[in-house]
Amino acid sequence: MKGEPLVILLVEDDPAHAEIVRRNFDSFRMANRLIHVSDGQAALDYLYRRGKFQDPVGSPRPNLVLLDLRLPKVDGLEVLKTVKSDPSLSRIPVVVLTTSATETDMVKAYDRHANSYLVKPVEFPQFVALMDALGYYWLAWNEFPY
Amino acid sequence: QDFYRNEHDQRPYLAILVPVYDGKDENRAMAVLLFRIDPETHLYPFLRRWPTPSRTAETLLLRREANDALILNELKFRKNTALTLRFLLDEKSKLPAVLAVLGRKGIIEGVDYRGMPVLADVRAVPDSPWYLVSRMDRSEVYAPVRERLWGLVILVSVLLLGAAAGVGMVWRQQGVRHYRERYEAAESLHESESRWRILVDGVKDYAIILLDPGGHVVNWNAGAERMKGYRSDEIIGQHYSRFFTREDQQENKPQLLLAAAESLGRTDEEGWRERKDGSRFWADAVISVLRREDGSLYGFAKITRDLTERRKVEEELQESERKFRTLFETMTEGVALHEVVCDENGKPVDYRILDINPAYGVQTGLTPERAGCALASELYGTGAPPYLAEYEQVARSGEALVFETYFPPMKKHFRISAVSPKKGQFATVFEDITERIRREEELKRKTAELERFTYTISHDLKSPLVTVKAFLGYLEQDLSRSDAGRIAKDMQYIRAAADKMGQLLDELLVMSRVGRVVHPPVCVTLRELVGEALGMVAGPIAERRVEVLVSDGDPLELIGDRPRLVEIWQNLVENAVKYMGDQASPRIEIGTERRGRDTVFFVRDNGMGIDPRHQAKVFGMFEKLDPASEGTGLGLALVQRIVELHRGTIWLESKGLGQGACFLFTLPDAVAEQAKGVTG
Repeated sequence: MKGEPLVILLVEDDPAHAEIVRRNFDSFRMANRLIHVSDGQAALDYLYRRGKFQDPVGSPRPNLVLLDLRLPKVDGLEVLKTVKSDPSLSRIPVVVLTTSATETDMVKAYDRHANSYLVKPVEFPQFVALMDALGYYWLAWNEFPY
Repeated sequence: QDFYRNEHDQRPYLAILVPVYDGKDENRAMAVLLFRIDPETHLYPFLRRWPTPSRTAETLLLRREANDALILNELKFRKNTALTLRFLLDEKSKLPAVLAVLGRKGIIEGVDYRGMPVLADVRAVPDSPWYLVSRMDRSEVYAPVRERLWGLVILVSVLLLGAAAGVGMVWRQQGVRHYRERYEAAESLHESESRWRILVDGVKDYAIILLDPGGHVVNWNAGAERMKGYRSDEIIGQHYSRFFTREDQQENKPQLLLAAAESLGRTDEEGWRERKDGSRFWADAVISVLRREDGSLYGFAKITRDLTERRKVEEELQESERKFRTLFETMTEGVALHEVVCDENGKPVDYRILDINPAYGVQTGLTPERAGCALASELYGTGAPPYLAEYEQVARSGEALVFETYFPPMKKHFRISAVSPKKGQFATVFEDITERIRREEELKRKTAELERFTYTISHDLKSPLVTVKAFLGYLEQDLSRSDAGRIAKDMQYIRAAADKMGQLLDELLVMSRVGRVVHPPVCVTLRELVGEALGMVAGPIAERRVEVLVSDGDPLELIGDRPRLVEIWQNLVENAVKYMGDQASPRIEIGTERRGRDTVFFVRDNGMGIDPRHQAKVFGMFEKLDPASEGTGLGLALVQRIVELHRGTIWLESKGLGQGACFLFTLPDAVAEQAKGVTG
């Protein structure tokens, strides 16, 4: 269904970081829709259309999940595990986007079948470059099954 | 018809005259037919061959002429006899020819013309004037009989000789056997003696000595020579008392032993003996009395064994036993020796204590009197015997087993080594590792905490830094575009991130101070502590209009680091107020309750409550359930740390969202200190 805006679910507890991602995605020329939730529980509720996310129009199935690891309530690794072990969700690409560069986090993320693991760069130009690359790769080049 | 001698040639012929009668007058002969037969051609060869071909046998043909018997044929042993030889017919003659002519018939004995004794068959030839004599020399007639007789004689002789030889051989064999048996008996006696000699001499570890009734050495073996150090020729004939020590000799021990042996049959004694060189050895000596068949005293057999080595080993064993006993009694690890008890089907069902050391008694509170022979199932008050399967395996296989375990009846951790000293038994060595386990757990917790700190540095502190740098970047862009609205927003994000960083650093400092900076312990009542804490949170309480109930039915005193203890209630109340949610009549209850032997403190609210799924996370450092709430998520982590410093535990009870929350904790060290203070 090309032509329809691609839906990106951003799971990020830090409002400032969410704002950075939003600003980058807003600058893309292609149609996309960024939905932001701020903890793991909300992410799962969104994906399973529970509570306030029951409306399929207001809460469409995402084409990509950008997932922070350190999250309130249910942490990112738990969300990742749930998504990847559920056949109805497991094909949704999940890109881990976190400040943690520790190896244990990377190993745990890949063990739970993360599609990519990205560390938020401290320097602004790199952050912008990463977001550009991420957007072009996942939104322009990557093919999603429908 | 008859024989006649021709006048011309002087040869005998046989003439047959046949008259030819007139057919009409039978008495009138008309002619005579004369047949002349040469007997030399037709008759004599026949007679010579008849009756049998023989060396002496012959046949005589003869007729009577006047008073003579005339031979008609040629004889074997005399020439020119036909019609010339004649014998006078004498009644007394023994000539068969004469007897034939005189009318005798049949087999007769006589003497022939040569004067030889013969047997003859005589008879007249019917319808003729002739007589026939067949004769044979008696010697020839009897020759086969004589041959048979000789054969018989030879046979009998041979048989007799054979029998004699047989008897002789048997006799000889009997003799040989007799001599062999005697030889073998002698040989076996010799061998038996030599075997005994080899046996007795071969016994190197025993001195075997034959004594006469007086106690003098008659004979001894190589073992004795080796043990005592004398040569045989030096000792034989000597009194055996020289093997004894001087002291024993003075006490007349050698003589006493012999006397005892004689009256009792044998004596068995252990004692020191002396070798030729004066060195001593510890001997076990048995003296047996030897009697003849009639009961009279023959002498004594003395068998001595050198037990010096064994005595040494026994002494070492005793010493070792003493050492191990001392070790057993004084060691700090508890040791118990057990025996597996099986039911009638051989199935192990219990075990019994055989021995315990004092340390075991101290660890378990059992005395040897109570523990001795008691069944484990009854002794430990556990119903089932503890660790029976493990112990039974050790007792059965003999393989040692070491395991660590928590024993709930004593609330202690033990490291138990089980070994099997013999089948069906096992010894357990108990080491109380409760303290070690506690320290290990503390270390584990500290390590986890340290990892958390590291993670915090790499993530939580980095996060605001990323924000600051990013929005500085945006700020530059927005400044160049003079976008006032964006500029204000950018700066707001930067300020918030910087504030968060400062707050994080402050709280990390607070956290690190817990347990590091220690105030001197003071005695303080619970009411004072709670009062001070409430004072510090008075602002939010009043703002949210929270009702606070403090139940102090039991005026409790605590001893500890006062500012730290205050922080517990301060943080818990602060939390309760912060997460009161949309509760219309917010209330917080503070108090204590008894749970078993423990004093449990609680802070209960009727606020938002906590989803059971998230309850495990609340004590984590920098964990926040609500990302939008104030604070860094350090409060409960800090409380937990202070509680644990007082050897306590903290936990949360909440039925879920909207159900309120109750934090409960123990402070054993603070309460125990107080208990000591009261008793002291």
